[in-house]
Amino acid sequence: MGEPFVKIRDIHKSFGKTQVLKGVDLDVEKGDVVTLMGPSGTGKTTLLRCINLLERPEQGSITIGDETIECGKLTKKAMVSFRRNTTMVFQNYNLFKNKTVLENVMEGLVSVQKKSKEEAREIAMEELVKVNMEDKINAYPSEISGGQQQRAGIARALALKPKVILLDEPTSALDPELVGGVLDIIKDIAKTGITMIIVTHEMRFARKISTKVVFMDGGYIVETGAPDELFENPKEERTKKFLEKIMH
Amino acid sequence: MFELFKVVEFFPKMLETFVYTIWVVIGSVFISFALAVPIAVIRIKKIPLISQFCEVWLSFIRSMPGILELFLAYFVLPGMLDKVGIDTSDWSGTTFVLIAMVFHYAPFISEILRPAYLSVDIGQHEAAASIGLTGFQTFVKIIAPQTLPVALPLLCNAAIDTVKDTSLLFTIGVIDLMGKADLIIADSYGMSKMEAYLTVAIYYWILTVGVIAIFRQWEKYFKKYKLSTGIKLKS
Ligand SMILES: Nc1ncnc2c1ncn2[C@@H]1O[C@H](COP(=O)(O)OP(=O)(O)OP(=O)(O)O)[C@@H](O)[C@H]1O
Ligand SMILES: [Mg+2]
Repeated sequence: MGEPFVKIRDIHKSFGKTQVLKGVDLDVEKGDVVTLMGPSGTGKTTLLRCINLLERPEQGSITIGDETIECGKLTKKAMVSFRRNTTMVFQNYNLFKNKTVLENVMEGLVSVQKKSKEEAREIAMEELVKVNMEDKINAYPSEISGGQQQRAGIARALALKPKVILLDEPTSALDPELVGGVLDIIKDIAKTGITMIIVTHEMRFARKISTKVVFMDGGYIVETGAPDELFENPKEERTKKFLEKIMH
Repeated sequence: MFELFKVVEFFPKMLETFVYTIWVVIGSVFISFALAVPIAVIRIKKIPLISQFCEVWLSFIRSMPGILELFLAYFVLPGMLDKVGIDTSDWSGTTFVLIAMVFHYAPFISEILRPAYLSVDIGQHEAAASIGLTGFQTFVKIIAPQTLPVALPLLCNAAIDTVKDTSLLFTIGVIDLMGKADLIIADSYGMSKMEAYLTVAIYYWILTVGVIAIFRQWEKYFKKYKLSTGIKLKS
């Protein structure tokens, strides 16, 4: 086997005096659907944000495809450019409030990828159809439900055809009756072969869609494995404890 | 004795001055706003030295009566500029008026824009970054359009204050509406004070109502975003 598609090495991130990531290594193959799980406050969100460079790690390196960055010495320009390898789906959607659903999805295509308005609209419509949002394209975010906002958020992230799509608890802010719909859409996307890293507490869902499950605790990756293996036979004591707690 | 027909007579006499006042207001508001944007950015980013300078500037103008700023611009500034070799003898009164206005309103408006900018959720910045927008694109396409609707009511107040500040111009010999009224009164040997001042009041009222109408229009445009999550007012 050659080099992994995504190679994360020795990522350190602190906020003030609190060290949150204490040296994280992670390999992701092309087309992998990786689930990150672990107790609250262990740095799952922080890790995703580091990969998208919304946070800037003090140390470590990230490779995506054929691009590598050393996090210690990053110019602003290099950050913006490397960030374009990934897109992010946020827990609280973060749709642009001054733009319609369609404009939200078109924005990156026009401003970042410099596509014509017509082409951008076509691509955006395709993605919006995939997430069943074609009849809400002209609504502003304040006019639609959380589930609809999140589906638009997923379309916005997909439209740019990033090398990796990052999802941070995409359903945890949703009303229970809306969760299923969004999970179904993520499941469909996972099948398309896109590389995906997702933080979720929906364990049955994670087990079904993942090719790889990663358990984090205390700023480290404790254990990595295939979903059946990790859920049935966790090797590490901490993983066992965590699974016991959330399965009951 | 009050004679209504004199108001009708004075009204067209003051029209030219009225138009001049409008231009002073427009010029002052636009230049101040254009400068307020970078000042706000400097203060938000806390750029060393210039941001401290801007804070002192803001605190200074907040404490100053408008007439003092006008006098400083008109009576003190030329001497200072003369020392560095700039001759102001052929500058018009209007130039000094604009200098005084902008000196006051640029930092003042920056203090309207700053909290409005900060009221935009951090998630909006992050979402923009996450799809690869540059800082500048984020500002122009996402943040500024959400900042403006928040700032508009206070910007409207600032514009109305500007309108009223024009009534100080006659103190440095520029003929504003007040100055024109005094000229008309002098012409009638002091007999038509009431009518002249009433005409001035009507013009100021028209100007203010006009400013409010323009800002209302603008606010209406931004209503479509439905940014407000507070109580819904009956429309
Ligand atoms: N911007 C920040 N400033 C200071 N501390 C932060 C910041 N962001 C995160 N932290 C801290 O870093 C730690 C890890 O946070 P993170 O959000 O990554 O955890 P998480 O694993 O995603 O938890 P959860 O499951 O609750 O979402 C927490 O202790 C948190 O308080
Ligand atoms: Mg989190």
